[in-house]
Amino acid sequence: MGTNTTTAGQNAGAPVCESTDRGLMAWRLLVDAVRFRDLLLALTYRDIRVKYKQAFLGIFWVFFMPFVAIASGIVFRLAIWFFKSQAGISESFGMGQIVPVMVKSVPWLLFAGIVGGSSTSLINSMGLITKIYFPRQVVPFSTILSSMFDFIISLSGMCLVLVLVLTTKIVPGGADAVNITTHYLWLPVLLLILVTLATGLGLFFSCANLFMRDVRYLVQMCLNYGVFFSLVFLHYEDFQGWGWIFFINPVAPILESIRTIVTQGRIAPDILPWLAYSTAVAVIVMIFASRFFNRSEALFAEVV
Amino acid sequence: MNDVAIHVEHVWKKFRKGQLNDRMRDFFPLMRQLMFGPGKSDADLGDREFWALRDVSFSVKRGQSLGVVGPNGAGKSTMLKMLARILRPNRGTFDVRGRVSSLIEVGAGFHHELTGRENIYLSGTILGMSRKEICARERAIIEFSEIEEFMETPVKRYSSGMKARLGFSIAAHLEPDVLLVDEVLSVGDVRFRQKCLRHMELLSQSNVTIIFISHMLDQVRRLCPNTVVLDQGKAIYNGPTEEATRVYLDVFNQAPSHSVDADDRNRKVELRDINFRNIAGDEVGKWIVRQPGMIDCRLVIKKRIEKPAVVIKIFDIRGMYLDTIGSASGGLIIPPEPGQYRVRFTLEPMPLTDGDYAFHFYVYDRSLQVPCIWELRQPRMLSVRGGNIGSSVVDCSGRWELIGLDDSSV
Repeated sequence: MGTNTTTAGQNAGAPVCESTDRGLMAWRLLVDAVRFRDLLLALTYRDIRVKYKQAFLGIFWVFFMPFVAIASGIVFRLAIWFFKSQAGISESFGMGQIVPVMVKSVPWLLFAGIVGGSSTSLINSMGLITKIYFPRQVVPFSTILSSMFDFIISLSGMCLVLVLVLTTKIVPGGADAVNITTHYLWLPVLLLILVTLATGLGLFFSCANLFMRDVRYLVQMCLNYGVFFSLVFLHYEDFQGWGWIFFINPVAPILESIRTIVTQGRIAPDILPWLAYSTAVAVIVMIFASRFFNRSEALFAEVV
Repeated sequence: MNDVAIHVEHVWKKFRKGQLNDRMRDFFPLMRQLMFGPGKSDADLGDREFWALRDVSFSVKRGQSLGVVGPNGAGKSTMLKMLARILRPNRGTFDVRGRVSSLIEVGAGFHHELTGRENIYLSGTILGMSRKEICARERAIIEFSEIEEFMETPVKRYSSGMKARLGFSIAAHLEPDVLLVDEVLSVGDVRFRQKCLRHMELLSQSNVTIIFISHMLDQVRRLCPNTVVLDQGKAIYNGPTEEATRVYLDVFNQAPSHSVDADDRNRKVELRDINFRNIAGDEVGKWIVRQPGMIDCRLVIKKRIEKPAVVIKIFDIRGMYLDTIGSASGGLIIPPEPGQYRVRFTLEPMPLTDGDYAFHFYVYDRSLQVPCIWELRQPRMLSVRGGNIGSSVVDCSGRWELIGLDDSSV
C-alpha cells in the first residue's frame, strides 16, 4: 500500500472544468477533453477492446463491414450499368465504376460510425454519469476516436487493395480510374470537414438522446437510409441536371468532392459552392451542438 | 479560512416525482431551458417537484472526517453527489478544495467484458488517476484486493464479493484531498470490511478529508468526530458524533409509533408510554455498559384477552437479531380483563455492549395461534455506552484466576 502523504499543492491535479458561456464552447469542450486525455484514451481503448471481444472474426470486422458496403455499392453500379447498356450507352464495367464506390463508402462508414456510436454513447454510460464526475464530452469523444481507429484500419486496407488491383490489373478498366495529382492534399481537409460535421451531430444527438429517447430511432433511421440520400453509391451526374438537390444534404458534397478528387484529380467545379455550404453547416452544427451540450450537461445525471 | 476543505452554504436541491419527458407537453419547456439556461422558476418548486435538500449548510476542516447519517430518503446521497459535482444545486453554493474522489458505488466504471487488470486501468482513470499513477500503484492495488490469481479473468466471471474487493482496492489507492464515501463498506466479508475501515482511518490521519455516509453507526463513530444528521432534506444536527447518533435515533422514535391500520378503532389492545430507565428509575436515552436497565410500558387492554403477553425483540443497529424477551416465558401473568397495566422489565445483568440497538415491541395472545395481535410500527432505538466502540458484540466479562503451578522443569 502506498504511503498516504498527499499534500494539497502536490496533486492540485484533477482539472475542474468551469463551464461558463464565455468563449467558443466547441473549443473549450475540446480543451477539457484533452486535459482528461488519459480518461479519453482509456475509454477509447475500452470501446475498441469490447467491440471485438468474444467475436470469432475479431478485428476482421473492421474490414468486413466496408467490404460488404462496397460490395452492395458494386451491385448498385452494376444495375445502373446494365440499364445504361440496354439504353445503348456502351461502356465497359470495371474499376472505373468500382473505385468511386470504394472511396465514398469508407468515409461514409466513418460518418455513420461517429454519429451512430456517439448518439447512444451517453445513454450507454448512464452508470458512469450518475456515479462519477468527469467532463461528459469525454464519452462521445471516445466513441468518435474508436470510430476513427476503425476508419484508419479500413482505409489502409482499402488503399492496399486498390494498389494491388491497379498494379496487377486483375480487374479491367483501371487505367483512368485513379488520377493522382497534388489536389489529393485536399483529402485530409475534406475528412476533417466530414469529421467535424459528424462530431457536431454526434454531440447533439448524444445529449438529445438522454432527454428524448425518440432520437435514437430517428438517428438509426437516418443512418440506414441516408446512404441513398448522401450519394454514397449514386453520383450526382446520374441525375443529369438534378443532382444538386442531393447537395442540400451536407454530407453529399463532401463525399462527391472526395470522389472527384480521386478519379478526376480535382474537385468538380460545380461542387465547390456546395462544399463551402457543407463546411459552413459543419461549423455551425459544431458550435450549436457544443453550446447545447454544455447547457444540458448539468442535467445529465438527473434525466437519464 | 484556508484550512477549510469543504464549505456548503444554504444549498437546496429539488427533484421531480414521476416520469420525465414522456409526453409532448414537456417538450417546449425543456427546449427553452436547454437553449436559454434555467429560468427564474428554477429556484422554486414546480409541478410534481419536491425538495431533496433544503437549506443545508456545513463546513469541514482539512483532514477532518464528517459523517452523514439519516433515514432512507433523507438526502444523504444527493448531498454527496452534489459535492462530487454530479448534481448541481438549485440554490446556494458550495466549495470543495483540492482533488476530489467519490466512492459512490464500488466498481463504477467496470466493464464486464474486460479483465481485472484492464479494469484497474479503466476504473482508475475514470476515478481520476493518471496512467502513470496507476502503473505505480497497480501492484499495491492487486495486493490489497487479495485476488491476484483472477487478474486475467474478465470481470463478468467475478463474484460480487470479488468485484467489490477490486473496486474498493482501486478507490483506496486514489490519494485524493477529499474522499466522498457512500455506504460502500457494506460489501465484502467482515475481514475485508475491517481492512477497508482501517485503511480509511489511515487516510484520515494523513490529512485526507473524508465525508462518510453510512447506516452503521459504529463505523461512523469510529471514523468521524463530527456528524451531520439529515432528515427529509434538512440538516437537523451538526456536531459531535456522540450526540448525533442520539439525534439520529430520535428521528425514528419520533416517527408515528402506533400501527394505524384500518381496524385501528376496534383494536383490542395497545402498548403505550414505552420508556427506558436506569436502575434508579430515571427515564434515560441510553444505558451504561454492565449497569442494569429497565423498560417500562403501559399495556392497555380494551377487550378481554385470554393470555396477554408483552414481547420485546432486540436487534443491533445492523439489523442482526439478538434476543427475544417474553413476559410469559419470564413468568409474568397479566390478567385477561380490560384495564391499564403498568409493566416493567428489568434487564440484570445487562448483557448489551457499547452500540445502538433497536427494540421491537409486540403484544401476543398466547391462547391464539396468530403471530401477534399488536405491534409497534417503528422500533424504539436505544444507545448503550461505556465500552470500546463497536469492537465487541457480546459482553464476555468473566473471572480470571491462577489455578495452580505445575513443575516448571519439563
